[in-house]
Amino acid sequence: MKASRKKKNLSTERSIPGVEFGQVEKLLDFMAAHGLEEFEYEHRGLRIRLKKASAVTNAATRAEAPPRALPRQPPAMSGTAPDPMEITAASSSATASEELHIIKSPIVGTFYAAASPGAPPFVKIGDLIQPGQVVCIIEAMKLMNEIEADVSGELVRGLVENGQPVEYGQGLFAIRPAKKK
Amino acid sequence: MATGKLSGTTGRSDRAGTTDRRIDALLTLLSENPTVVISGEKIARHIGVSRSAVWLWTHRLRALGVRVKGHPRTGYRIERVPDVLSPSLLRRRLRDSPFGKRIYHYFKTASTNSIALDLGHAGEPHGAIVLAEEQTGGRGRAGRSWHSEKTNGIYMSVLLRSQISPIVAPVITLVAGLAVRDAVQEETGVAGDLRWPNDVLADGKKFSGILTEMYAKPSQVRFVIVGIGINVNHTAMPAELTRVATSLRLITGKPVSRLQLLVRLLRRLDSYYNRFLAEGSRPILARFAEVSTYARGKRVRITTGGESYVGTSDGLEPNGLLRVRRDDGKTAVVISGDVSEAN
Repeated sequence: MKASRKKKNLSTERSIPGVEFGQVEKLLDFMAAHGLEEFEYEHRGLRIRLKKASAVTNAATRAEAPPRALPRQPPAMSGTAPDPMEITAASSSATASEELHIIKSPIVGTFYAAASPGAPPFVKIGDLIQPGQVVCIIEAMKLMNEIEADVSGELVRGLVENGQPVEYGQGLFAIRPAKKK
Repeated sequence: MATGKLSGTTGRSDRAGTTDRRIDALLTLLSENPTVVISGEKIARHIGVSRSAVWLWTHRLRALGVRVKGHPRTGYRIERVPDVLSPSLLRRRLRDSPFGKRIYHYFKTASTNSIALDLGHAGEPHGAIVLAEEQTGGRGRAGRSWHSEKTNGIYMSVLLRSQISPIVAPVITLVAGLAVRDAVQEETGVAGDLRWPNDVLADGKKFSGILTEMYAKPSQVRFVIVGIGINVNHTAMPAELTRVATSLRLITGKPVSRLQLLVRLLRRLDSYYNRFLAEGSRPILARFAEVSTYARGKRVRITTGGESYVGTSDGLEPNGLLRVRRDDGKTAVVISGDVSEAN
């Protein structure tokens, strides 16, 4: 855990076959320089999609899309094929020795940590989570999506602030799965 | 109040408050023969109690506010057919609908959505509905409450189960709003406006609100609960709501049959929902644009996540989200939050 906290940067040693993070960083710079919010690249079965976390906001302000530097945190990335590989902002901050499970958002929406404003959050850091336990609500168009944990384990990190918009597939929580007996 | 489980359900403690089958049967028997005096013996046979217990059940019915005339020797007659959303009266009118099969009726409960959620987790099939004559903890968005006055409104939750992706599920909120709007127009002639995503208004005041809850795996929806509140026969709204809320009776000046309105609503919901499953979001969005003044060209204030701005609505995104051209020149896509009319 201690080590993983620092690894917010994609340029760390953690390697993913076929992906060189130095090059990914160049792509990020390129995106920033041109004010791009999304970038997709495919080559020999490896696909990289980069998307700024700000691409959709609660009230996404498109015209605002700033050509300023990207946030320090890497944007959500997802790679597919040839082997089912997934790179997300969250998993990139896990160390190789610690496999964290990421609970992801199934829809575009607004993240709520509690059932109503002022209520205690569904879960907090350090909680032991059970499968089926509600961890947060994602709202879109007055549809409240109660997100359930799909594994048991310790909640290590929340990845989204209360009230913030989330993308489809964006990581919400990092969970250190309980050891299998 | 009588307790016991409704026919066709598995008895669980949290459903113990459902209206007793015998109350329902008695109410139906008397309602369908309003001009006839029915003997205690016939009632006993019909609802399945002993002859000597009939007076007890008519007494319970009276305790629920139903005016029943008579006594054991003369027989019984209902004085006025009450507008109670009785499961058997509903079921009879909804024979060909998936929403007529499983009806859980409560005279009083905290929240129909809470009960429907439990039912969903317990494996209840598609189309089950939960009705309450009165809610003591009706819920709205962001922990707000819904004023659920006794027997004057429709307070209902519908359980939907379909093999759809969570990504498209938010469109169900538009489906529900359209169903309410059209049912109200059919029954009362009031052509309601839809305030994105699904408040139904007349003369700028809200008479129906919808809160939808979903349980889903990442790739597939397990079930969706659509909670619908409609102010039907309220003769006045609480002082703090008079500027923003109204009822169908206040609009039309006449009482409205909740039973008829509910039957129309469930039929509309079935047809819009099937259309959505068969043809996707497009016809739903098109219909919304047709009947909602909020879809395009409306001056709106959006309040979301602590941010608030004014602009002009500019149509719906393909996934149902509302586009707004902000006054500061930016384009916004509203995911959630409060929408109100602006100058």
